[in-house]
Amino acid sequence: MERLVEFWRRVRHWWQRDRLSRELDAEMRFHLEMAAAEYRREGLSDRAAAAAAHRRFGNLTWLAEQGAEAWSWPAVEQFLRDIGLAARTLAKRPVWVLVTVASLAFGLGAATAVFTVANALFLRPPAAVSHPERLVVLYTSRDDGTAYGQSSYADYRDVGASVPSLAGVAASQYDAVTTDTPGERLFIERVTGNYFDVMGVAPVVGRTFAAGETTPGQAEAVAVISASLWERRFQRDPRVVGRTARLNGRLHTVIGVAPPGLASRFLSLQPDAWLPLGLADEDPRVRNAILERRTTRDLRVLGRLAPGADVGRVRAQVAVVERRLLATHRDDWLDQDGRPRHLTVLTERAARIDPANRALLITVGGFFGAVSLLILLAACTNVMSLFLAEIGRRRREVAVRLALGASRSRVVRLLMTEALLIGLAGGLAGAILADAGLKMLVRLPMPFGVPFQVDLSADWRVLAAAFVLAVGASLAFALAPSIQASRLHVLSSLKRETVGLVAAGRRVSLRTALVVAQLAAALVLVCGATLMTRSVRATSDAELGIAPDRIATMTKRLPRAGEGDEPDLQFVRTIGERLAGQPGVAGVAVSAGLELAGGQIGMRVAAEGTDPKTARFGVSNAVTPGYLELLGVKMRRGRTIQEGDVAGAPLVAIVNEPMAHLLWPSTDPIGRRFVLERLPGPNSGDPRDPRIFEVAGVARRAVYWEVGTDEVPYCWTSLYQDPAPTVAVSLKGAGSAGDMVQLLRRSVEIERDEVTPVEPSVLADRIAANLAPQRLASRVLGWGGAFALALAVIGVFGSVSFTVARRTREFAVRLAVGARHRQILARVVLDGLGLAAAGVIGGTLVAVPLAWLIRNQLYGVSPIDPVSYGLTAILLAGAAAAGGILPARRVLRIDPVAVLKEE
Amino acid sequence: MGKNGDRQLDLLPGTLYMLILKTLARMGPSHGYGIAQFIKQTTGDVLRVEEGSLYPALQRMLVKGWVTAEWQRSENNRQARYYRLTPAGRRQLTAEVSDYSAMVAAIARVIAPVAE
Repeated sequence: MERLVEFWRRVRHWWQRDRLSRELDAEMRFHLEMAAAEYRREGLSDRAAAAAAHRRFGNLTWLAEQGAEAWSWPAVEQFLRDIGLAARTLAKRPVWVLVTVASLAFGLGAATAVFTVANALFLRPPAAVSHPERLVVLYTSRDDGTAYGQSSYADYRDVGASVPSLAGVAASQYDAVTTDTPGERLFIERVTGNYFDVMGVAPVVGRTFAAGETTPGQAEAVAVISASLWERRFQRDPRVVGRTARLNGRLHTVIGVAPPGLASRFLSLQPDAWLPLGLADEDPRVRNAILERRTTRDLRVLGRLAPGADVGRVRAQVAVVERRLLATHRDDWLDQDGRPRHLTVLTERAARIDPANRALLITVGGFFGAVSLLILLAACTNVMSLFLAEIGRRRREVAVRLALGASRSRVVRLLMTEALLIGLAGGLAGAILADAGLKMLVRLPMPFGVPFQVDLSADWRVLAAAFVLAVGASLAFALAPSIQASRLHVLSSLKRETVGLVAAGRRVSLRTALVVAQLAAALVLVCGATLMTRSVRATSDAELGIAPDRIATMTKRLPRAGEGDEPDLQFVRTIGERLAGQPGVAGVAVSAGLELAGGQIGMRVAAEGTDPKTARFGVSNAVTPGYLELLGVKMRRGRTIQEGDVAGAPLVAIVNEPMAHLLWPSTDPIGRRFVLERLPGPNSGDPRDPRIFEVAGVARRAVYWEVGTDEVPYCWTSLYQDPAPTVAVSLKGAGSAGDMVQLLRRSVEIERDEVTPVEPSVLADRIAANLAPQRLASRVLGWGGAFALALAVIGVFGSVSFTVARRTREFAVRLAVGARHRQILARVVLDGLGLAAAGVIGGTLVAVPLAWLIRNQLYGVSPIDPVSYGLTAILLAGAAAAGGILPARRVLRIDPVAVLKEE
Repeated sequence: MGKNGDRQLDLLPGTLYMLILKTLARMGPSHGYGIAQFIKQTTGDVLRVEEGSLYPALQRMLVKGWVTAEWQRSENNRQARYYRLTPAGRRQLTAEVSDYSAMVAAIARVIAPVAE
């Protein structure tokens, strides 16, 4: 308590210190006058009196200082002085400071950025949702038996009606819609009317869906927009309710604005709008598909626990529903192998990392985490060795201080203060770097052409943690060397005796091992980046099975012919003829899907006469005549699809080389027959029986389906013989693909009742979008590699400079006995190259097994591709040289006489 | 050289506070000059105190809360800063006097003339 009061008195004094110091002056002058007066009374002259009084009194200035000092905080002032001294000392060594701060900044910046992303995508509870711990997610198992699939509308309704432990159940679907800005696509969610209630989200403007507005099949064209869209498109107009937006060609009325940060459960991407599921005016068949067809499972279901309920009870009730579905709708409820499906309920938290993709997400997350950990480790080892080197260099200065009377603790305090300043600077730089890095991440390409909207703002808590970490790391790394430095035997240090062995043989110190580890890590990352980049390059080149240039395409659902389920193929002919006649059009073709851009149909094929159980999985595409030529598919044998391949004519197919080899390994495939069974899929339409096709031609082996799948059996059938419900209309232009896009847009009306109309696009762009994940990986690896390389350069810098400083005396001796500067330099350079070599070898040993692990992602590039490894090794050697050259050059400046004189 | 021709002695270390506190206790509130005069006169000018060194000591005593200070008009109508003992100061005085007495007694026992 006493101390507190005293503290308060000091504070008050500090506050008024100017006035109080003047008062002290006045006080002392008063004393002097009184004393002088006394002397005058005793008979001295004025001057003598004043002098006598002064003598008796003492040194005014010094006394005033002493008085002021009584009030100061010695510890604080000492600390401030130390900081000033440390700053001045650091200012004299700008290169070292820059390098160390950069090291800290890189390491922490990378780690912070990665952690923020992971937090935003996987760890944070959903924003803008009330009580997210009361949310649960429902899954229906898939056709192939995996557990976490989507559900059908009818099943969803049953669950909603029969599970009292859930207060509300909602369903949603992701989609991408076009707007009236050409080329713009928005990521949206189509939801049931109670979605916002179940999520516990209140709008910031307007309202959410009202009852009756969202009845599937009869829903009105209303939309709740995101806060971001409100800002971008409506300039935060407070009267936005009632305004309209054209989405997918149809005018929607805005009824409300969602709170900022409301995200979907897909990687926390934020949708720009929420639309009702199943708008009115649709094709009645579409409405049926939504409402009744239990086999159309494309909804994500989530629910909110009723008050007092828990997940266990929900699971029990859902199990009852599951049994009832099996009993009453058996045919719809069995999967492709005849097993009953299962309904799974997970809490929101358990489902936060999408369980369907858990392995992939954890791999990706682990990958990012490993990369940033690697960088952090590299940075830390750098900082450690830099401090070691620097403090080692300053042994002489430390010895002088000790000799002048500084206590050991004072010396340590000085060195630690410098480390503190470095840590603060490093933390600040790291935070800035992390922020910049996050902003850059947001601009990375996303696979679907929709903008990457995730809230990646750096949490201040994370930044603060990074800061604290920087300071802590700095202090930690400087502590041991500082204490060791202060323990010097004064005399020997002053004599510049080299502490530590200076043997001719190499002694592998911890420091050396650390630098080699950094170089190795850099090699791994840069190598990975190189492999990925070459893989991406390869997939965009000749290995593609088609030549997509100058082609624009548009996907369209075919109208139904009359009453039946069959798509209207006459429409296909009409459209083909209409477009072919347009100016600038080099060719038109229609197909079920597009190579490398989706829409194809899965199949199982077996040679005629063989056991159906040996049927192989493959992919087929139904096309019109001229398609193969238009897309530039290269044939090996036989013919392509021709005009004669219509309904009623013999069923023919063009197969690819792998399929030919698989089904007929030793005979000519032309003329052979095989059984094609269509697998259910998004573009399969209604199920049909397997049919027998005859091979009419063979196309060369290339990638037709997805990146890296040139081995998969692939065939083309005639669209007139093998129709599909949705087709892609492709136009090849004499000019640019952009012109063709315009043409498509003008000629083919985008009808309003389309559930998923797709804006015409340039085919090459769509293919590029499919390659986006690889591009993403190669870009991230590239950045990671650049970081690691920078750190490795820093590491080499630190190591070489330490070695040179430490061996200066040895070098001086050598110079004195006749060696030349250049010879010494050559030694140092050789040592540095030795480091680099060790790093390259070590790194390669680690990189090869890692590359082998991801070989499935490497297309056209072998995991031990010599060009990649060679390039990387050269790059690394160059980096090591760059890092070592500056400190090595100090060798040239050693003056043997001066050094040895300091004996 | 002291006024009476006696040798001037340096202050025993640590006793300055005690002297100032006691002065204030005996004289009541005084300014620095007054305290110096009192010590000089009461010791017959034997104790050599650099008068100025009172002031840093007074500042330190202010920090510790043993005295408080206030500007008032002095006897010759000038502004002077008057110091006054606080209860904490009184307690400190008692403590210091008792410590000092104990020390003096202990030393006295050592240098006392040997009894027969």
